[in-house]
Amino acid sequence: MALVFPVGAAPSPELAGVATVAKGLREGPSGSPLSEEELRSAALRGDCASWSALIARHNHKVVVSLLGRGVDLERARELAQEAWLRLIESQRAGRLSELVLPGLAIVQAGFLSQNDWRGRGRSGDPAGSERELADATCGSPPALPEERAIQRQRLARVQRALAACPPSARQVFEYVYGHPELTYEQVALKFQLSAQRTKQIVCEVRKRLREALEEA
Amino acid sequence: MSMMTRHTTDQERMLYVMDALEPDQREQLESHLLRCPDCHAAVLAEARVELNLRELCAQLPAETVEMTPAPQPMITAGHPAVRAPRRQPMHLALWAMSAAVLLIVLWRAEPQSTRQHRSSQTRQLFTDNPSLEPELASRAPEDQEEALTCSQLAGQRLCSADNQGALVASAPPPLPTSVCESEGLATAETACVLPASAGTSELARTCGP
Repeated sequence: MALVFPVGAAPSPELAGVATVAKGLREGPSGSPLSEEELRSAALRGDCASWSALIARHNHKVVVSLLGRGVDLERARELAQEAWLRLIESQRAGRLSELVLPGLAIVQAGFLSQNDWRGRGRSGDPAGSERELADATCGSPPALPEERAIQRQRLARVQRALAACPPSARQVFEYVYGHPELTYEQVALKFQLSAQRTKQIVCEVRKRLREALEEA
Repeated sequence: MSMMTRHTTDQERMLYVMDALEPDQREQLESHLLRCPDCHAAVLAEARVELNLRELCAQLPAETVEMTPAPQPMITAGHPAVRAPRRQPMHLALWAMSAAVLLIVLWRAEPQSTRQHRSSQTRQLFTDNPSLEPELASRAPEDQEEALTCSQLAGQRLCSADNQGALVASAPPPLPTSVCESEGLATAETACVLPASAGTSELARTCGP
């Protein structure tokens, strides 16, 4: 997969119209919404409407990933938009052979937020910059042995908490978090649940995992 | 879009970072976040938890959901989407078994006189046609045989070999059309000869060319 994005370069203005978030998903010839697979294939061929549908479907996850890195909401929205523009630009330049979403957009947005930090770090206060660096690199693999040990402990706590959940709830949760490209409706269909119930299950499991993460 | 005039709740923030809010709810919450530093900070913290969870979940052992059938729903007993697909195969099996049992019971409970009457009617078919008689004679003594029309048995072709009389497993060749016509039987109507006491299976015959 080609993912080489020079983080400093601005995308061409002609792409700006493409990345406006579509309100609804694209529909196929039969009137049913196109699947993720079909949308991605069409987007890789340069279909603008498919890009819009994919952005509508995944943009919020990109924004949340930036919020998790400590980027404020307004800037997160801008960076997410920028990330999509870079992906579209890359596809048009023939540098995208595969489109894994939302992961690719999240990674791209992560690069942009780090670049953002570097730009501000050069002119801001060092203490604040250090904290922002920690936020910006949140989600990256831990570099130091101590960090890796902490990470292992957190993983073990999450695993224990997950194992204590009912098996069916665990399966739903793992499926939702293992397939970020799917909507709750799609997951609900697989497990023969309502979308509302699926969200409830994920909420319940997530609360337990959060408690486990917050254990001292 | 109405403005959110209160602070966000834990639940709302969690649903927001899980991408589980409806689009209009999300817009309301975001417009509030832009004006409320406290809620904004709380959402950043929740988003950080979400990021950590996603990262940790990616390191969990590979799930087995793909290989296994969908799990039993937890609290969805009344949900129609769950009921129909799960219960349908059971219904079919129960109906098939019930129908088979009912047919056997009905046939066994039928008065002997009725069976005799039907038997004589069907036997008439053969005795009036000498070409069929040797076949009947070779299978069982005349006085031990019983015959009845298979229409009563609703198309079943399975026979047991006891003297309760059931149907043969494999269909013998059809009766000659001329015989059927002479007896006023329609094509594809089946006549079935059953042993009254012998331990052998007997034949079911269909009219046809």
